Amino acid sequence: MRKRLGRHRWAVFLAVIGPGLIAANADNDAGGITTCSLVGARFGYSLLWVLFLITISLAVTQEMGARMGAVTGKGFGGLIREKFGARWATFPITAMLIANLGTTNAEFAGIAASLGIFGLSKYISVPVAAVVVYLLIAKFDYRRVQKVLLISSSLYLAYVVSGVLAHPDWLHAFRSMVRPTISFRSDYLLMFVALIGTTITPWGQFFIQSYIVDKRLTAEDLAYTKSDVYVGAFFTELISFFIIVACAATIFVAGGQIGDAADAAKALQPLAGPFASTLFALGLLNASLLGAAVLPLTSAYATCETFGWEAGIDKTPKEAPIFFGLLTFFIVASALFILIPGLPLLTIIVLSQVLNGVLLPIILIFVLKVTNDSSFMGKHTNSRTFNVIAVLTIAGLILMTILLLASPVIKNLI
Amino acid sequence: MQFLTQVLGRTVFDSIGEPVGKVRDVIITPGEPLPVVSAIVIARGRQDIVMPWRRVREEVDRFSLPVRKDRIAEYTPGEDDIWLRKSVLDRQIVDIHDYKVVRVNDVRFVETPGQVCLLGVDASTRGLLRGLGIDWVSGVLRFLVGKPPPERIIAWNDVETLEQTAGPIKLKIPLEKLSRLHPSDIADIIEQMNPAQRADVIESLDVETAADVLPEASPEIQAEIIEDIDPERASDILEEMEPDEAADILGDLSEERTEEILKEMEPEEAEDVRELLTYEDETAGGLMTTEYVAVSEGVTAQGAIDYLRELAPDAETIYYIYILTEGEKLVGVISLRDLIVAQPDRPVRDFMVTRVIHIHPEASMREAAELFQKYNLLALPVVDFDNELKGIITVDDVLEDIPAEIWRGKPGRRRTAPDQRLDHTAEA
Repeated sequence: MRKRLGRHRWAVFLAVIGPGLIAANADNDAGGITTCSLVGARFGYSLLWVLFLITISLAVTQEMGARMGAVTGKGFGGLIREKFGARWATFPITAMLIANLGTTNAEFAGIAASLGIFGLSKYISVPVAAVVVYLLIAKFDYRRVQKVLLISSSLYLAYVVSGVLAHPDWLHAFRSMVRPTISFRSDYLLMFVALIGTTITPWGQFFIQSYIVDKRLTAEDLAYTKSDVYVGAFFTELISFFIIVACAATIFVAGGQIGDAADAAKALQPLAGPFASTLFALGLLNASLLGAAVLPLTSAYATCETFGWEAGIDKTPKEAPIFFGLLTFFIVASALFILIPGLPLLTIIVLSQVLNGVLLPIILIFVLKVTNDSSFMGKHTNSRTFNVIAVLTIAGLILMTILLLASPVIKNLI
Repeated sequence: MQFLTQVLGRTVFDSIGEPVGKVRDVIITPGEPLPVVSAIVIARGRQDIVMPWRRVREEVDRFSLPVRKDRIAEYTPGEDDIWLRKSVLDRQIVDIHDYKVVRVNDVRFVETPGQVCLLGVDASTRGLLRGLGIDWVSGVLRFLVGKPPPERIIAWNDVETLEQTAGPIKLKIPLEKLSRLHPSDIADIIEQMNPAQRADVIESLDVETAADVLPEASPEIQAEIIEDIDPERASDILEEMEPDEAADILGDLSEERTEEILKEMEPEEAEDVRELLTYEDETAGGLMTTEYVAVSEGVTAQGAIDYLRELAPDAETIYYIYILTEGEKLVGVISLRDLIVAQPDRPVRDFMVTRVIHIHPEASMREAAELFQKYNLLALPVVDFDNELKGIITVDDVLEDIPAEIWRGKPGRRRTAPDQRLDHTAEA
């Protein structure tokens, strides 16, 4: 008789926390926390309207990913390969790989920044973290570890409490959510694109779909999946909202300067007082570790699925050379990059999210093409409303990217 | 034409040189020894024209038709026809020869007089590079590591397609080539698939084959598959399996699902499985099966052989025959060899081994493994404290579950392979 699995306990857990919520929660990684902190600290409540709109976009695009997974039983990489052939598939895959490499850099920057608060030099923390991440992926059952990290991501609830305790100007905050304002200053545009890029991510699109496939959800579960994805999108953006509000009510009102991670931690002072830095550092470290493992994995799996190379943690590097090569490359290259002396960590994190935002339209166009193809989706193709929202998201992003490129970005870097 | 990727997208011209459209797909018809190209699909605006291959003339880099474009006789695809671009290229297929699930990078044709046949599919990285139009990368690789990525064509006879589409409709196809493989190899293959494909494959196999394949897959995958397929079919498959293997799978499912499946099963089989489910994991009780061969002590050798003939096909192992009293108490064991060499009219109690090596249901897997190793057994009876026979553990169950270090034994000790003899038991 074989070893029985501890499935039941996880089944109960998963009944409460579905794939949508998990994928959305993983979205609050180093890039998410940092970008939202900077958005609140530098621009107060003025970008909250963007957050409001992209919550809708996030819900819609994640639902598309979940639906593709449930209806076809295949990952996104496999679908674009089957629909467009190898040549066309290289575009979204390359875009995803570049964006993900940037985000993996951000995760290691997050590790360096969070442990820097405790006084640990990045020349120690980053190499150690690289080894830890590699071992987490290759030697342990990462899916277990992932759940632990996801549960600990409830640390972000600290922002909700801190945001309330900071006595923000609620009326102003809510008014900002529904009243668009825009500035053409390049740092504003940069944060604008970063905020979108950290919320709707190329990797998140691949991640939700493969998660649905692994969880063996099918077209029959679509109603459940849909509500789960919506709740997840709402919850993530609720956290983002409170991060921005907390930072706006503390750092923005005090002058708005964030030089390093320790400055960003001040947003938690209303709740944690002198322990604000510790709380912030732990939250950021947790989020960064989560992302530093998820991103290389998602990238390697999606690439191998698309091009038909063997993939899987249970294989040996000899059996799946490209899979393990990509994993190793992502971790080693990111860690080495962060080790460059004098690197402005928070800037790196935000720029990686900008890169995500700039590359996102490529991914979303392919999402739209597949979700409108009835030979893949059967009767579950997109509704008109969904298409409109997705097209507006893509158009908005492309427009912002053009504006950003047209403005003198370099001068006003954070 | 040699490769599908070189053909797709080529322009087709009509008899006066006007372009008709581009090649969108190539249709093959199964045949012996190889499938033949029967038509090409030409994209003309939003509409497809299916043109019989025999009317198409191949020239350098283009195709031409002998007629004007408004007089095209169309080919009607048959039921067995396969659309290569739609169903094969870029899709996952099973390589029956190497037991692998691979993605098709290209399709290779071979020209014979009068027709073009399909030789096989190319799933190699070399083929991928060619398809991407960056074949030169192979040259760079050869320069860097001394050899280019290998080129390999999987013969069409070794290819099992997983899905076929006829227009927008997906067809469920019988996986004949796959089902002819050894169950262990099928299990290897389904482990490489995604969950939806796994359920499809198991659904397409006949119940007996499915019952042989499932236990060879990893426990998580077994449970997932049984959860994903229809409960009625799941119970049919589980009935076909050894009760201990069925109990293993059910033990990993939710209680509701287990009940649902047990209700669908034959009451007798379900009863056996239910009993096995009561034992803890990693104990002798959890390892054992309830299917064994036992006769009562008064039976003659000939009687036992007749009984074996009648019943044995169902039992997991028939090398040991257990001897029971009227009250189901275990009193002895004989091997198949003892039975065959004995005089036909001799009662089994006269030549049975009475000191039977046995184990209690609560004993650990490790203890069981040690007994197997020490006495070189093929099966081990599990008896409760009243000496009542509950089931047997067979050596293959132990081999699967016991970590290798236990089998390695102590250094310097001579070991023999498990065999059919019971002499060791007699000395114990």
